[in-house]
Amino acid sequence: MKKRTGGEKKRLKMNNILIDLVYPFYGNLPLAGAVLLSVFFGLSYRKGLKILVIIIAIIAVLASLFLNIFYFSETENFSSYLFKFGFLQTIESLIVLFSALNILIFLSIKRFDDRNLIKVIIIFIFSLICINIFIVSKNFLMIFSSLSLFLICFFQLLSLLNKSSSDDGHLKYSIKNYIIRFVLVAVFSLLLILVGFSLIFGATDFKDFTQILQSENIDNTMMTAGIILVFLSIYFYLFIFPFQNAYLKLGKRCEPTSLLFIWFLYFPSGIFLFLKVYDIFIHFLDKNSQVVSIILIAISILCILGGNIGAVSSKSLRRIFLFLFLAVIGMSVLCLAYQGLDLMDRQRVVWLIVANLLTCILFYFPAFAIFFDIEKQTGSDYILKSKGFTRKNKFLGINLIILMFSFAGIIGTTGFLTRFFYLKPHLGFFSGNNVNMAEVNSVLVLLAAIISVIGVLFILANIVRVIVVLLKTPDCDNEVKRFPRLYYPYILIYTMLVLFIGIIGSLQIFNIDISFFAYDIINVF
Amino acid sequence: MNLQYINFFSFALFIIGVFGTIYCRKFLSVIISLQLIVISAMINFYSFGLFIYQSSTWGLVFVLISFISIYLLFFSIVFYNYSLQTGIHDFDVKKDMRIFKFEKADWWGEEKTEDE
Amino acid sequence: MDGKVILGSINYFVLGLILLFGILALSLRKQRKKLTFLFLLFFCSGIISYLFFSGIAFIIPGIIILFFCVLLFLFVFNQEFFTFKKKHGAAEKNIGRHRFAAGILINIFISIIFCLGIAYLLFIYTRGYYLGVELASSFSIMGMSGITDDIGSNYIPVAFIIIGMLTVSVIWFIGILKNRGDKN
Repeated sequence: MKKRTGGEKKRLKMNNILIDLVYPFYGNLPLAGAVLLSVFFGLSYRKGLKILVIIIAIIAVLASLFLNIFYFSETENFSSYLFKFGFLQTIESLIVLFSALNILIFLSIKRFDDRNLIKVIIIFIFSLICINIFIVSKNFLMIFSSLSLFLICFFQLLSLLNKSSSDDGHLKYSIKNYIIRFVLVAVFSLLLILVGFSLIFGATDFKDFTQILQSENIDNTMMTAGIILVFLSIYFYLFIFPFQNAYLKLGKRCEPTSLLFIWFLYFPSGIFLFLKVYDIFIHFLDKNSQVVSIILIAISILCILGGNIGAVSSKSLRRIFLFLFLAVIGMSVLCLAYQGLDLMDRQRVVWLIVANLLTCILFYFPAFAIFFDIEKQTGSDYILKSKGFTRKNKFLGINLIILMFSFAGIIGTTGFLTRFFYLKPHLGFFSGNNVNMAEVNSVLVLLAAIISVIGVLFILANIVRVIVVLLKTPDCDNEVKRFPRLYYPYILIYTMLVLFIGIIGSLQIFNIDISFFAYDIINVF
Repeated sequence: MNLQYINFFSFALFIIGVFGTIYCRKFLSVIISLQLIVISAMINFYSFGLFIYQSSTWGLVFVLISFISIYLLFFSIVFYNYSLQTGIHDFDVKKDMRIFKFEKADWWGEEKTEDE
Repeated sequence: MDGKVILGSINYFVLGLILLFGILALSLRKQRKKLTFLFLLFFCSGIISYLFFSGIAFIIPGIIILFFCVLLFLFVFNQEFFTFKKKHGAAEKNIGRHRFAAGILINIFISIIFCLGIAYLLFIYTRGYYLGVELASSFSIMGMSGITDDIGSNYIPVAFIIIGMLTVSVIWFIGILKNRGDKN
């Protein structure tokens, strides 16, 4: 065996130090490399360079996905002064990177002729780095700075994507105002977080939520005020009812790919921020379960009913999707109320929040592909422009219907898993398991049950409404040209994924033994 | 110096900033309101760092780094607005930029897209 | 007079100025006056940071705030000098008519209710804090070297992503500036 010299040993030690220093950023290294490479082509409009940058970006995102999974499986949990990289962070990172891959596909198909495509991709990849760092951040300073830098990237993406989205100069400038309004709401919530952190700093010298949870300072009144401000900021950040105006206005008018950034980068960052403070939330929930549960049920009523009523009263497909997304967030808020009412444990609530997000991803991306192509070709997002789509294009139509069934929660699909666990606590309650519950709690549980059933049925009704339009006899003047060939395998993959996860999950729910699939989908956390 | 009085000033500044952010219609007023919130947070950090902790490096580092990132964001927003000025006074200045509005279309029915 | 009393008085005076300039910057109608008071607000914030012996943490952000103020001034002057204004008579009449519109009243009402709620929350939750808080008997003034040591030893990733952000922002500025060229 070759003996190592002093110099070689020193180099090996240095490499190990560098590797340890970079952990847990292995997933960000390919992204950083992609940014560095792409910056050289940032000012180019050449077709060949655009293709090269897209390929670099896709490879970087896939490499990042792989590295995140690989290093988590090798080293399990990691915690340091600034970062925490556990199973939840891995899942969050995978959600973001999976969404990023899909967004890159749509950018390359729909925005290929855009002069700013390379700039958009560079900023997009950098935003992925920021959001990945935000996901693993533990320290208050890291959380705040990575979130604010992510918001800068997000704003820059929105502004570049909507730069020349309209030949009508008047519309171009009005979109500017709606972008600014949207981002100002995000800035307002960011500043509420800043003030919240300043109050937490006044209460204690601890620098992350885990330390606070383990200390006696958690019941300090200044600390409580700071944490309430943080929760308030998350409320505004997610445009929860009744503060949804800026989100709806922008969503209706912006360039279609911008919506993907809003739904699958911006909103997840807000959800992940909440999951960071979730343990502190549970502490407050345990102390004031009735009050907090009432507030949560009120918020979820607003969101679920508001979102569904808004969707059912609208004939604009964009508005329907915008409203339904808020309704799904409302369902996640209701899950928090379940915990306050002792209907659900922590792991299941986290599972449901993540699963709701995944259900949206698995429906919205393929639906976006089809519906926004129809909008582009017909010039309107009016629902009747899709009339008879299934009859004109049977392959895409049937796949889309299956995906819509998944979003509605039909058995055998991914959505069924979330709806099942969403309604399951009420089955246990109404079968008489919790007879010793206080009367107030019984009323609240009944209210939560009614809202959850209404929510599920209402979403089903909204989806059925769209399916009925798709199945109608098409109008002669609704001539939709052929879709890009990539859409066919793309949507087929999503349909197969939805059915696979749905069937495996359903079998696991009904305790049917599946020997060929080792992972327990329904008890991931 | 009394920490409580200093914090009363910063809370008053915070409340005024929040009021301005929700109420004001003009872009400049909203930006000014947000500055008030930033400054109230800054006063909190400085006052707590001075009165409660003997050496508050972390508070100063937080203010330093957070201000850099926040003002980079503000700069980008104002620059974007500046770069897309139409030259029409009523459109640029009198445009309603309230960040929270409550309209019927946010709950029911359709909205007018050509509402300018 | 005792130095602490003088320092305390100056502190309260400057805090009062900050509050006053903030209210004036919000309430005045003319944009140039708003900007003037905003700049004075920032100036007083710089003074207060020095009075809290933390001026060193304000210097670097102060440079960025300066650029921000310059940009705001350019923005406002561009609006004031180069925009086409309608005849004031009609505009003034329209403003008068809409002043007491239901939407504006609802807006004021919601703003006041929300601010009262936040004020109540802060008052209730911070009232007990000051009774039990232990103040430091002495303090040390942190210099730039202490701050850079802390950043160098603990917060290097932040420094890297801020530098990355600045680089990416340059690309964005180029993209937006080309937009102005298209507009012209």
